[in-house]
Amino acid sequence: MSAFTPHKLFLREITIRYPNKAIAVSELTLEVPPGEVFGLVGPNGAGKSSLLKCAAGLLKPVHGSVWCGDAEVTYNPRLTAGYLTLMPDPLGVYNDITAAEYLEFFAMAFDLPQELSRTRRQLAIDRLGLAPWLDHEVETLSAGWQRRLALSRVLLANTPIVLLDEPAAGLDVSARSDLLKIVRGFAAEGRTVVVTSHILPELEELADRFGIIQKGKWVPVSKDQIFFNRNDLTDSFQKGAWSLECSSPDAVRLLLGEDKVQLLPGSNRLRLLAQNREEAAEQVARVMRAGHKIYHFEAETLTLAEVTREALEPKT
Amino acid sequence: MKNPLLWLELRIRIREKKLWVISFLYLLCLLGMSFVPLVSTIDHPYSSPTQPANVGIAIFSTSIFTLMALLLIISPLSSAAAISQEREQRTLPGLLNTPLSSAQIAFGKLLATWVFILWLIGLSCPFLFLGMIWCGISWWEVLSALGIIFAAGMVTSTIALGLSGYFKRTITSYLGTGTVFFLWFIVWPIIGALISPLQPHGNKAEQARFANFQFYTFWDHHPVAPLVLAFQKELFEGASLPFNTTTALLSALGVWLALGLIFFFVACRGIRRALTDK
Repeated sequence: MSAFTPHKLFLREITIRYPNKAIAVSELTLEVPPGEVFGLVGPNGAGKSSLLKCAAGLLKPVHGSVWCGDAEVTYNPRLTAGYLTLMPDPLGVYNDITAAEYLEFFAMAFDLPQELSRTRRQLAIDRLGLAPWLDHEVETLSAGWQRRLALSRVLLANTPIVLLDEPAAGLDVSARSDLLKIVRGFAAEGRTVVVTSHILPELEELADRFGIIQKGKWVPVSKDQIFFNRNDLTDSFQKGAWSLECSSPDAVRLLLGEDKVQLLPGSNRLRLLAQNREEAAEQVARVMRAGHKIYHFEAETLTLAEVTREALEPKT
Repeated sequence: MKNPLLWLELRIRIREKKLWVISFLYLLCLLGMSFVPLVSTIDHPYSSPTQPANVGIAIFSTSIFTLMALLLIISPLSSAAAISQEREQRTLPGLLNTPLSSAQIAFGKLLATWVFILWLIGLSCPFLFLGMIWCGISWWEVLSALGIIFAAGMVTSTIALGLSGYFKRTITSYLGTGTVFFLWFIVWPIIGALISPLQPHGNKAEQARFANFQFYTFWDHHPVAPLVLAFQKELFEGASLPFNTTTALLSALGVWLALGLIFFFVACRGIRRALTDK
């Protein structure tokens, strides 16, 4: 397969209006470098799909511009198609053609010369495991295989940027896991990937960086922070709680005070509450000085779902 | 094949049973209608040595008008859901995320309908050639008739495609197309006939002006009108209509071309508009 040139995706101050003039997205800026999977999180109607459609040149922004690398491609779907593949939600499929015809059709739509078309179709078949389904009509394929087939467009067009709108919607656990691997594979090749999903545990596993969007605007997760990465989830966003496994939990509760320690239900682990890591470490040192053994000590971190819920909760 | 939409549509259509059922019923209808003049002319008690030519003309006239009537129903129907169906299937965003323009998409769909119309016209050729075999009709007349019928099929399918871009749902698209064509084919000419009593009396120049207005406004652009104009001698046994045939034909074709372009533009807009659907 011929190599593609990696490109970053840059959305600059995008504002989109619905036909009824309501604001879908308001002055939103996003930059995603090559090789990164960016997770776009937000409730229904937040503007995620509109933003992806705008990035793909299918919706005209009333303000702002879309850049693929150094090329401005704002509202130019034909030009954008050379840089970017969008897998929309809902995923529209042609019902009356076979998977092989689907591949052939899109190879023709991308205007690939015959030899290149054959090579790329074969690559898509091999990479996505489509061989057993080539003669099946698309409508008879399961949702997971239909999505894989749709992903074949990325390999046919060989675009450096991939936008996936709810790629895991309606898929079972196994299909979701397979899809995850494929998408991670795209990023590993140096493609820029933007994914929206309501299935946050999967998105947490898939994406490198996240942004929360609501009513067409970024929602900050802290005073000065809009975007966050997976390291933030494990290191920075702490709950102020630590999980502690020790030799005598009841004695430790008495030692530290019941307001500082909770017994986790159904286990002999304790939940240690502290303002910061220094205070938590001091408490642990006290426990050890008292002669109790510590088996496990770990900071409790927030999940993507918790961060999102917290960010979207109305602030009092 | 350069246009992938044409390739896709032809693949889908050839596989559909509907194509073969429509083709069979269409042939049956043509066969039935061709037998009527054949039987009535042959059994005529005053048959003359020129009878074969009369038979040929009768079969040809019946065939072309049956063909036109059938195509005026089939061609709009075959493109009436072309875009609304894509919209319902949600396939347009994926399709527009390719180097294809909305005009290429609309044109591919239109070409597929035109190929279908050509297929139906091809099926009817044996009936039209009967007129030539019986020496009543020249090959040029057969070709002119086919050309006019194909042009009418092209314009009606383009209008239907435009309407399918305008309406959101397939069912409303079919209903809307049916309504528009009913108004154009039936209601508008009847309104033209109903205003006849308004014709001024006495002044011949004003009468001629009124007749021109009536003809060009209500009847000339009717899909059957160019066929009537082209074959008026055969139809009216030598008599002709009081209009300049060339001007009337060119005017009709001009209106068709304008309608075709307008509705093609509407179809392209409809494809882009579908992307803002929630």
